[in-house]
Amino acid sequence: LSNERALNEAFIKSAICGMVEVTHSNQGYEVTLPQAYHTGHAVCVIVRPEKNGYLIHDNSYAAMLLSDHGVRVGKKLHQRFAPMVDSYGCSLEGFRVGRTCDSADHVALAMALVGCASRLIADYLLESTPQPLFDFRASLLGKVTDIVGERRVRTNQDVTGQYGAHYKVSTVILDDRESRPVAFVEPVSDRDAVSRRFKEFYDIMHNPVFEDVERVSVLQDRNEIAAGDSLLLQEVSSLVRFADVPKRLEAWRTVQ
Amino acid sequence: LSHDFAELVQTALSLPKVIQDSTDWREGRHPEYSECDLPVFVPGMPSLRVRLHMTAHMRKEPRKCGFTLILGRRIFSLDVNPARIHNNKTLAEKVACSHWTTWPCEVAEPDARDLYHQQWFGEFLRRANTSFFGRYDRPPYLVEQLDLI
Repeated sequence: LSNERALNEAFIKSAICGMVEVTHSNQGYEVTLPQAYHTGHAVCVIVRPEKNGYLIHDNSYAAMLLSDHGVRVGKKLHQRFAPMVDSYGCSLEGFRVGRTCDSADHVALAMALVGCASRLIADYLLESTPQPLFDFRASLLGKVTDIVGERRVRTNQDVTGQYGAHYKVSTVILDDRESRPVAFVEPVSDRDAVSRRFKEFYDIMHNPVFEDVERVSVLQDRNEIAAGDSLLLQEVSSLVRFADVPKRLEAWRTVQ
Repeated sequence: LSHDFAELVQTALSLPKVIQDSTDWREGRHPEYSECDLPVFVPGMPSLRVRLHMTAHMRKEPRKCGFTLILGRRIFSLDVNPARIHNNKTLAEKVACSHWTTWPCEVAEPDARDLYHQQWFGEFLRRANTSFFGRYDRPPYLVEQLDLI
């Protein structure tokens, strides 16, 4: 086969070497390796002389790639990656993958290892879950406004608890004369929100000023929360699923 | 689902968008680059959760920076002075200069212009159909100290 004839040791070596590029920059030598992140970007490392040898590092490019895809690059990820990067004989300083060597003969292997460890960080994108597409709070506000009318809805209102703590209630429904609140409506998008909402509503319900104001916790339909958490929220508020909000809000449409 | 998402992306990109906040650069646990997040409001579809995420390398010359519109994931981006080659998925083309990508972000569209960060920021907002009402601050930059022999 003609394809087979074109393929030989010299051709393969030359093709791989052809992918390598070296340029001098303000940080040392920037080397493009014959490796690629799954996004299509070539893996690139910096090589620079140090007092006792050479430092090879990825300039935090892998971490920056994660950030550029909306991944929060912080302490948790650092704890996760540090031992993995270590198994390549590299270290993770901040989020810079690096390795030192004392002889120029070892620079090539060091570059390959730093490149591999760097790619390992970028591969985290393959398993990270996309962030929510819709803002639950905004969806809820839209639904409340549709039902009771924009005129009677206020957002992010300061409400004081029994001992003076302040809360920003995301949606407040006013009576028809817009003179007093009839309901405080808060979204509960996940389990993490339960304790925050419980504290807020517990505190507000004990302030005599707001004893006649209904408190409503709205659960996102697709998110299940534990029965115990539901019961906790029910102690301080009416618990409503997002799909049932129209039915529940009909009652306030005519409140004078 | 991916078809639905592609439609949603198209809608989100075509609708006018608004940024009210000002730039606020932070370094976090990665001392080599800073980043900045700005919520993006879509008046025509207010429940959409869109944000503009920017990154800027603090030591590299020419200055490397990124602008990304995120709706669940990266849907529109500009990679300035990327310092690495982008191999388009078709393998037919390599792009080494600044480039734009749109969901699914597999093909890079080169842009060889040499602009300041604020000018790229303006270009990105224009192409993303986004109005900016906040205060702009350029990203921080540190001069590299080489530990020479």
